[in-house]
Amino acid sequence: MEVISVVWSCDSFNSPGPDDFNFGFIKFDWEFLKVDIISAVNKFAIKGSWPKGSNDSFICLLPKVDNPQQLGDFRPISLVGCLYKIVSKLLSIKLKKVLSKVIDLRQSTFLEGSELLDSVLVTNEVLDEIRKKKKSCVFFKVDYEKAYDSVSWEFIFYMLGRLGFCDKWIRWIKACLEFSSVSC
Amino acid sequence: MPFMFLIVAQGLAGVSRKVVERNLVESLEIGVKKVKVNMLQFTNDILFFCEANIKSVFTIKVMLNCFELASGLKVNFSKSMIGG
Repeated sequence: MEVISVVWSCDSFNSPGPDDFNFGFIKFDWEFLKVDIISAVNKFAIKGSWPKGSNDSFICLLPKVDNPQQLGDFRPISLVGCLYKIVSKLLSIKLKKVLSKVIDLRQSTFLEGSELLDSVLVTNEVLDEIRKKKKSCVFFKVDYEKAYDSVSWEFIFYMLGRLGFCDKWIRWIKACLEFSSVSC
Repeated sequence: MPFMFLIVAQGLAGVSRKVVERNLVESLEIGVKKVKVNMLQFTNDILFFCEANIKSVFTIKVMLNCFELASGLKVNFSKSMIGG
């Protein structure tokens, strides 16, 4: 049962989401709750959508400095509910298994079997060789503006399709992204 | 989900591979085996390598612009840097 291992891998006493239950509660009453939780996960897998309210999240502002004065001094985090957490963890465990096959070798983060330092090593070798052989070379380091929140969803779905994920998967991801609502 | 970002970045990796195949960018060939190295990605940082000619640099710029239009990922030019 993957659901069990996911539930037990979550921290018990993180701040709860809008439904006010944290994982400590779910673990404590697991025998009683497991039927409902597993059936909810299964329902999501079949329908590809969330019941209303289960994907809500709170936005919480954490101050980055001691005396915050501007909005930029806060780091927003969102507190999501348990059910969403379980499902998104399940999805990402499954995704992890296949990602190393579809994603290029040249990307070196988050993948199993590739280290963060691999890229550093390659970069070092390249620069070393250029210097030795006195080749001409241009290198260009690119930095994205607000990388995570400016990606268009349409593009994600397009890429998922391009990489050969089936419609079911795309629908799951879509549900995770689109059915969310936020309050402060 | 950080994995979603990987999937998006894979789009750029695909484009860069095509560009090298069509000889629009001359990538460096490193080592005895002549391994072609043209880009490396760490989450939200990319590093491009190419031969120093105007065609390659221009192609990379066009590529980044097109990627921005397609995915919405804007390049922060003030934090990016170029060297040779």
